Amino acid sequence: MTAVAGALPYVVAAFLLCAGWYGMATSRNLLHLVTCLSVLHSSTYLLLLGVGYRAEGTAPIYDDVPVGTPGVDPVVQALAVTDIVVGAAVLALLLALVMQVHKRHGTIDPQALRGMDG
Amino acid sequence: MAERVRIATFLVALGVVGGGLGWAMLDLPPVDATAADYGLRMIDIAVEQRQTANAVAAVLFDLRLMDTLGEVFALFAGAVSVQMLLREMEQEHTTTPDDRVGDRPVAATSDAMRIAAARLVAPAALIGIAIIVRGHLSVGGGFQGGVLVAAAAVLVYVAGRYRQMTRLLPHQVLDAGETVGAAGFAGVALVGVVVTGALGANYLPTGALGSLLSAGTIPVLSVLVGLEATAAVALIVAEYARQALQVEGDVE
Amino acid sequence: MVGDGVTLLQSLILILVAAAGWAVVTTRNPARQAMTYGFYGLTLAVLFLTFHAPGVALSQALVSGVAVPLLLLFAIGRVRKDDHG
Repeated sequence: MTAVAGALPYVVAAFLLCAGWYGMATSRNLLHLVTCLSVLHSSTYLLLLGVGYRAEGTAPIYDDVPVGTPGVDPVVQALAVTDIVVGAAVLALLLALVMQVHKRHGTIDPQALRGMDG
Repeated sequence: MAERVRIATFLVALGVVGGGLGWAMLDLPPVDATAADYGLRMIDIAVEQRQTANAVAAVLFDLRLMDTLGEVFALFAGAVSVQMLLREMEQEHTTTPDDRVGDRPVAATSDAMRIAAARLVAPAALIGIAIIVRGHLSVGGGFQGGVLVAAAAVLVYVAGRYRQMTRLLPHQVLDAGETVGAAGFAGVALVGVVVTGALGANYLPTGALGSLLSAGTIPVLSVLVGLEATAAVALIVAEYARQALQVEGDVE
Repeated sequence: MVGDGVTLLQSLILILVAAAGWAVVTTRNPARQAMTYGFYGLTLAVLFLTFHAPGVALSQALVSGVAVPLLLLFAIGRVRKDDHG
């Protein structure tokens, strides 16, 4: 039981990764597909924070806790912040590409986009 | 039929990969079983050497500055690429902003919503600025505050004033803000090479833990990132809003 | 050093996150999906709070609670406009 609970964040991360893949592969709408990619991406945040978490640690911000209190790993948190921001920039770029595909082909159904020859 | 075969093949592959991945995850050391010495060391350095209460900000803007430099340029490139991709094409024409999508007017926002949004603009912007400036002292930093300031601008739109939003945020100002933020970030990091011989070294006095003017270059970089993030997010949102509300015409 | 790690509260929120993620993927209507995505992002933000990561929670709440649904809705508006007009 303990082993399962201890691995739960990782298992949920793996589940979100697979759920994102599933949604992308079965998608009939590029907007839906891009959102599924974002779900897939968010699995990485869970993995990162799971690695750095310590039950007896406090948030690594020492404004109202005494200096010297053990904290959770700030490095993975900084990576997660970077991850989220870059993920949002990528999503904005992908959605712009979807709008462009719609302008050129008149559809955003990946099945209907035969031959991406412009 | 081909569609069904494709999805069936995918599901088999997903079962194999997902099952393997789940099994591997169960075999990892459980959460909290390992102490990350590197992370603990980072906290000590952040608090004792850099006088930075927010260890995450110390990692972002000092100890692992190279990652953040890449992130800032990724955000910059993202905003520029969105603008390039969505620039007006020959077949398109830009209509006057009238808060309509196609022939249908945008569903009118209720008065309660407009008033709430209008009242929230100033507090949201102020809190955002506070989060940026106090990045080294408390939760948050340039990225979080920047998104919040940009969100405050969007509230102007929710308050029913698309035209005011575009006038409040002229592209030239946002472009300049984005450039100053990204170039300033790189510049502050590069000055470290001249002053101490290392890129991104913290060369300003670190002051006392908890005071606004402390932590050396960390708050400076946080403010520059805040400028960059505000401008980049606002540019992207403004470009999307223009696409949805003003641009018409298809290539077909 | 070796402990239970994940508390009951965290486990419950993790399961909620997984369910919300599945809901986002299986919502096929993009406009409705933008809303489920916003909810999913907020569950993630709450989860990060329980993992002692308030900074990450703040950026997650702002990005996926505000920025991403907004961009999705504008993109949907642009795409729909040409379908009807």
